[in-house]
Amino acid sequence: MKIIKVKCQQETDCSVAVGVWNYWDHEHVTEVHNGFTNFQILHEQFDTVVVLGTAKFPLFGFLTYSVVQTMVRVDENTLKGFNIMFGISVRATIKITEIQPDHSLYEMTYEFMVDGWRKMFFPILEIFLKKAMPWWNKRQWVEDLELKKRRQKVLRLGFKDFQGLPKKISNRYYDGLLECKLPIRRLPGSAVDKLSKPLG
Amino acid sequence: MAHIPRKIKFCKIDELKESAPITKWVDEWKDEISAFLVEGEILVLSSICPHFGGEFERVAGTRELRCKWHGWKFNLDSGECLTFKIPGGLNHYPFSEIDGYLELTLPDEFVA
Repeated sequence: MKIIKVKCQQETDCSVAVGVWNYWDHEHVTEVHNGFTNFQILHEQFDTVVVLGTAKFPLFGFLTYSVVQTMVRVDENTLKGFNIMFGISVRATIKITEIQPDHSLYEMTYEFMVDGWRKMFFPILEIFLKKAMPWWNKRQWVEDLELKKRRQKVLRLGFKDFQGLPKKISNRYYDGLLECKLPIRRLPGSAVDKLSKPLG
Repeated sequence: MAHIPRKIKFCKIDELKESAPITKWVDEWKDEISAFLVEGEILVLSSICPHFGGEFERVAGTRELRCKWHGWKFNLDSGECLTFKIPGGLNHYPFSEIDGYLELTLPDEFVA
C-alpha cells in the first residue's frame, strides 16, 4: 500500500466548540456547500456519525457520486473522517486548537491509501491530489467561514439554540466556556433524517 | 452597563427604497436587524435565526424569509417559524419615519 498525505492549515476567529459544531452540523451541508446535492444520516450516536453524501463532480456538475463517510470525535479537539472514494480509502484527521481565546488553528490531514492495481497510477494520483485537495479544502473553508464567525459572535451574545438571543439586552453577553455537545440536536422531520430509521 | 439608547436612526428611507433589504449589526442593541420593503410596506425585524443563529434571505415574491444555513422559513409579518413549531420567532422593531430616516424604537421588554 502506498500513502498520499495532504496537509492543509487554516486559522479563524472562533472557538473549538464552534469548529466542532460546524463539522457536526449535518443540516447545513446541502444549504451552504455548493458541491453537495444530498446529505443523509445513516446512523448517529454521541461521538460517531455515518452519513451518505452525494456530491457533484468538479467541472461536470451534472454528474454526481455518493460516498458513505464515518466521522468520529476522538477527543475535544480532534475529529476523524473515514470514507472510500473510487476504491481509495481515505482518512481525514481534523485537529482544532484554540491558540488564543476564540481563535483557532485548524490542521487538516488527508491520507489516501492506494493499493492493488491503483498503485500503477500512484504518481498521477499524487500530483492530482496534492493540487486538488488544497483547492477543495479552501473552497469548503471559504463556504463555512462566515457561518463560523457568525455562530461565534451570537454565542458570545448568549444565543441559545432553538431560542435565539436573550430577550433583555443586558443578558446578551457570555464569556464562559463554549462547549459542543454531540450529537447536535435536530427536530423530528429534519431533511437529513430520511435514511436514519429502518427503511422499507 | 453602558447606556442603551431607546431610539436609533437605522437607515435613510431613500436608501431602503433603492436597496432593500438593509441589514446591520446594531451594537448598542446587540442584535442584527433587517429592514424589508414588501409591496411598499416597511417591516423591521431581528434577523438572527433562532435555530442556530443563521442569516436570512427573502424568498422572492413571498412574505417569507429563509435561513441560508438550514433552510428554515419564517413569516415576515408574524415572525413565526413556518418550518418547525418552535416557541419563539423573529422580533419586530417598531419604527417611525423621521426626517427621511427610519428610526427604530427599542421595545420595553428588551430593557432590563
